[in-house]
Parts: sequence; structure tokens; C-alpha cells
Amino acid sequence: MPEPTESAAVEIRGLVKVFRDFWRRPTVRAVNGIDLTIPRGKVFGLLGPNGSGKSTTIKILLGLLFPSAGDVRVLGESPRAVAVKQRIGYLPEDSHLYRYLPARETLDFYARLFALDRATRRARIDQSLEMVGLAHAANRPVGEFSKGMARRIGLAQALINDPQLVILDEPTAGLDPIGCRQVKDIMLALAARGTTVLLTSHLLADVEDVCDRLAILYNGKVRAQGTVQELLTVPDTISLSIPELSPDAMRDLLALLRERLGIEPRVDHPSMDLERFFLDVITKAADQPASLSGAAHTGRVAEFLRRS
Amino acid sequence: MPYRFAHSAARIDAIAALAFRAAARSRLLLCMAALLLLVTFGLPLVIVGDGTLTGWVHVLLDYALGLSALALSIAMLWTSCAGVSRDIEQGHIRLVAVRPVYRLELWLGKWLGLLALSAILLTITGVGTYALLQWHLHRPGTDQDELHAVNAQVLLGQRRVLPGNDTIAEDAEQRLSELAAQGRWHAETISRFKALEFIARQLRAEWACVEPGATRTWSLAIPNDMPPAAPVTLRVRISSLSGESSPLSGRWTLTRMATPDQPWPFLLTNYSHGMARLTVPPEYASPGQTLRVDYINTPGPQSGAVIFDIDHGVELLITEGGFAGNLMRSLVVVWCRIGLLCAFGLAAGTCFSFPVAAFVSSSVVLLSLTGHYFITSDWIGAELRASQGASAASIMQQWSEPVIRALERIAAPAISQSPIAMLSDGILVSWSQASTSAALLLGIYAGVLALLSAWILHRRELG
Repeated sequence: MPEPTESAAVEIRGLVKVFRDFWRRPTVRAVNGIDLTIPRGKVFGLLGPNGSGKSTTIKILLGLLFPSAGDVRVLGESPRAVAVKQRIGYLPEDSHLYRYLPARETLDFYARLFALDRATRRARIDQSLEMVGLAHAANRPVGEFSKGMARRIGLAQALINDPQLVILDEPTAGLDPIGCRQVKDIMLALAARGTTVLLTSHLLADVEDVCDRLAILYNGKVRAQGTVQELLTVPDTISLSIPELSPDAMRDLLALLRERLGIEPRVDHPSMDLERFFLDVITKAADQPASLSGAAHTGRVAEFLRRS
Repeated sequence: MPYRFAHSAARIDAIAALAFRAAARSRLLLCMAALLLLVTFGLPLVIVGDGTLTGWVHVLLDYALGLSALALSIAMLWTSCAGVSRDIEQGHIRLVAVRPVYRLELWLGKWLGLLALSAILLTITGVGTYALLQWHLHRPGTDQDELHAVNAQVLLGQRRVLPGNDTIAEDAEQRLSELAAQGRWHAETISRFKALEFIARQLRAEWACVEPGATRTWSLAIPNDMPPAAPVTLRVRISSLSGESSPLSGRWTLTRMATPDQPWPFLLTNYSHGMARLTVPPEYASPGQTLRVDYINTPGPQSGAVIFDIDHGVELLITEGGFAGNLMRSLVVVWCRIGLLCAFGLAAGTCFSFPVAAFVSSSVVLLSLTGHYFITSDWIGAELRASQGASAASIMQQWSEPVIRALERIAAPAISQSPIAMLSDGILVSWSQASTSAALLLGIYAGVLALLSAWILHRRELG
């Protein structure tokens, strides 16, 4: 269970990463002086185009790459310290799972690396498989999974240790809209119980949906950062939603606004976003039972991740 | 997170189980395992040998079992090269390295998984070999005399006692001093070390060759811890330079050194496969006794120069165990060697990609096994060049020789005695030898490689 604390989950100061060739000559400056603070219990989005330094930063946070300069603290410790890894979960951008291992054994392997006892492992694996909708495919080798299913099992392995910090690299890539929604719900559920979530994504709508704070990287530097509200609010403008009015009532209202406030209001009909519409259709369809070979839509977060 | 051994063991266990599974699935290993079974069971049926039961047993043990062990060694070396390198190349290691796993645990897990797999494959080979042997020996129609000979000479474990009166080193020193005094040796042409090595080799060859009329003497000390009433055999490896003369035409005597008495003359008669044997009488074969063996190559119409085996010309063999136990211990030593190869392969895979690791590790192993021949031929070449007034050795040779010698010295404990050759020779592979192999090869050598690899993995970026 994550420990409530006021200190930052991740602190990065003046981070620089220069890749070198065989002769130690610098080839690429992937990260160029990043300063970031990720507060605990928040969902933090790291955005940026390809090659902006997102994955490099994440790999440094995980101790997979070493910084060329700067200071990095993860949960108060060096990212290379073995102890801190007990409290971190990681979903990489590409599936690096062993293709021949069935889903259940995949989760069991990673759970054993955290030295979890057998009963805890079994309970968490069952709940995780249920959560990501792969309970029916528990004994199928991961190599046979579709990209979306591989993403789901990847997410399950990232959460198997009930981490305090979850790093998700493109968590919704390859997922159908239901899967995307599920993953976002899981992220929100995790954050609600104090887990810090750091995610990168190219799908800006996803980031906007779940992130409390975000940073935008370009060319290895932070170009903007703050809360989503701070960054996305259009200044000096508000929107007002009211029930449908008759044409006469609408005409009177607009005249009143022009006369009393001296403004020219814009009128349009709010529309449901496509994601919500799609989910409504699928939810209705899911009420009719049928066998399936892909992932199932359960909408449930694993019990061990719900306990606060 | 305080370090807990139980947690560490759990992580190593998980990684070992996965490494076992990954290796067992590798096509290379499956092919090698098929080859191993083919060699073990097919070769003895295909190779005719010399037609005797003893010859067939030698084919089974020397060739079938020996080739199986070789095939398994190569397969495990290459599989272990893939153990870490493929994980790095395919990114699997990223999901392991971000877990609370020490690099040493990761390495040890991989290694133990490979050790377990090689143990299983070796056990299958050993059981198969033993079953095939028993089936062949106890088929209806087997010649009972031949069966008796095989049981008495090959299918047992005999402790080897070698002569202790080796003065070759001192003789070589003296010969070199004489050469120097005559102005025939110059240190700047050939180093003292090399010269002594070559002279010692020459002296051994001279010692092994006995002209008619010449004599040779060996001193053999029976160990104090010899099991009571254990049969003791004198074994002589000898051959004749001339095809017409008998290698056994000389005169042999045996004398107890502690209680000097009349030398006991004996005859060597049952000569086969280049060897003759004599069962030493019980009154001579007592623990702590030192025996002197004298040989005179008596001149006569039937005699000619004879040659003794340079390393094992005359030796005492004390029967201390049966074949099954000896086979098991031999396979334990082979397993320890394979374990070292796995450690080496994993270490190479830690530094290089799979093809490079396989090439480097195979090359180093090959160089360790054959380096001695390179040095010898280089020495002979240096002799020739020196006699023609040319430079003794190139700079390349001067640099490569210490490397090869170092490799040879490091690898010596792993390759000095072949357990399979000892098994087929009826020589005891003792528990002491097996445990020494385990301690040295799996404990010290593999331990050093483990620490080195863990350090490299710790220093290496895995992203």
C-alpha cells in the first residue's frame, strides 16, 4: 500500500543524457537539462513528439540508462538502488515479455521477482487477469496475444507488486477504446489511493482525461509544464450550458446579453465525444452474452489495488 | 529494503526456472540433444572396433560417451552465450532489471538454470550408456572369458600409482648447463624456460625408448590408505619398434624396498591393446610398501628396441571401486566442466552480442585446449630460425605466447585429466577429484566469472 507522504515521487534536476558511440564520441544529446518534480499521488503526463527525450527520461528514472549530468531521485532514492525498485511498476512501450510463457506464468514470474509468497501471488494474479480482461486467456502463451492483449498483460505485470510509482510508456497504444477507458480508469483509481502515475502518450485526449499535471518535452527540454487546467484554460472565456430553448426564448436571451453586457455570444449544440458514444454502444452490446477470444470488458479494478 | 537471503533465493529460483525453460526450448540445444542421443546409442552399433568385447566397451566409453560430453559442452556453451545476450537484445532484461533483482542474482539464476538442464541431459546420457553397456555385456552368447577380462580391466575403478623417481627436471637443468658450457645455447635466442621445456621433452622420449641391453628402473609407493586386501595390478604400456620383435622379450623383476630381499622375477604374457598386466602378489601389495620394478631389454635374436608410454609406461593400479560409481563420478566431473563453460558463456554474453559471444568463447576454449601445440610448434620454428641465424621469434609470437601460456595454466585444472578417458581406462575418478572439480570449477572459477559479469552488468546500460 502506498505510504502517504508530502515529498515528491520523482525529482529531476538539470538532467542531461548524451549518447556516445563506441569511441566515446557524443552522438546525440537526448535530454538537455530537464527539471521536473512529480508530486506523490498524482497522474503526471509526459508529452512530446518522437525523439523529444520522453523514453530516455523514463529509462533514467528506472535505472536502465545512466544520466550524463544532473540529479535524479525516485521515491527519495537513486534510481539505481535495488531497494527502490520494490516500489516501482513499469510498462514499457514495446512488449518485452517472454513469448512462450502463458499469461498466468508471466505474471507469476514477475511476482516472484518481488519475493511475494505463493498465496499472495495467486490472489494478485487472479485479480489482475480479471482486471485486464484476460482471465479466459490465462493459460495462452503471450506470444499468441494481439497487441492490445499484450498491452493488457503488460499493465498487469506492471501493477503486480502494488507499486507506489507506476511508469507507463504509451499505455493505451494498440488498445481499443474500451481498453483505453479501462486503463484510464485504472490510472485514476490508482491515483485516488495515493499511487503516483507517470505516463507518456501520443494520444493527447487520453492525457487530458487522466492527468493532474503534465510536461511537454521537445528536443530534450521541458517546453511547458503545469496542471492541465493551467495549461488548457482559454483565458477571458467561459461556456454556459442550458436546456434547449424555443426560438423565441433564444432570441430574447441573446438580445438581453447584447443589450445588458454588450457581448456577442456564440451558440452551438454540445456533442457527445466519440469515445463516450462508442462506450455506450459497446456497453449495451455487452449485455448480450457471447464467447470471445480477445479481452473482456470487466470494468473492475483488482481488489489489491483498491485497498487504501 | 533490508537484504533477505530467502527473498534472494526466491528471485534466483524464479530466474533459474525461466532460464531452464528458455534453454530447453532453444533449437540449438534440441538439435544437440538429438545428436547426443544419436551418438550415445547409434555410434556403438555402427563402429565395429577391433571385434573384441573390450574394444566395443572402449568405443562406447571413449567415443560415444566422449562425443556426447563434447556435444553437450558445445551446446551448453552456446546456449549460455544466448542466456544474457539474447535477453539484452530482445529487451527482456529491461523488465527484470527494473525489479528488485541484484545483477548477481540475475546471473546466478541464469547459470543455475543451465546447470540444472545440463545435469538432466548428462544423467540421461549416463543412464543410457550404462543401460546399453549392460544390455550388450549380458546378451546371450557373450564370451565369458572376454566378459571376465572387461570386468577385470575396464569396468572398475582403480587408483593409479605412478613412479616417484622422476629426475627429468634435474637432468634437464644439467643438460642445459652442458649446452651452455659448450656454447650451444644462448638465452637471447631461446629463453631458459623454453629450452628446459624442450630438453625435458627430449629426455622423456629418450627415457621411454629402451635399446637392447639397456635397463630401466621405476619406484612405486603403495599408499598407506589402500583398502585392505584390494587387488593390485602392475600395468605396463609398451610397444616394440620392430614389428618382428616381441615387446615383452625383456626381463622383469620386482623388489620390496623396505625389506630388501631377492628380486622376484616375473613374466609379462597377456599383452593386448598395447598393454601387459601382472597381478602383484599380496605379500608385495601391502599398504605403505614401496616397490622397485627393474627392466632389462635382454639382447637376443627376438629382441629389439622397445618404447614405453611417456606418461604411463609403468604404473600400479589398486582396485577401489566399481564401474557404476566411477561412471557417476566421471559425469560429475564432466558436469563441473560444463558448468564452467556455462559460466564462461554467460560472462561472454554479458559483454557481447550472441554471435560475438559465441565466437569469442569458442575461440578462447579452443585456444586453451590447443595452445600447447601452438607453443611447441612455435618453439620448433624458433629453433630452426635460430639455426639459420634469423630472429628467434616475431613480436607477435613474443606477445601471444604469454597469453596462450596463461590461458593454458588457467584452464589446466579444467582440462588436465579427462574423466571419460580415465573411465574407459578403468582408472578411479575419486570423490575427492569430483569434489575438487566442483569446488575449483564451480566455486572459484565460476564464482570469479559471476562477480565479473555482475560488475559488468551493473556498469552496463540496459535501456
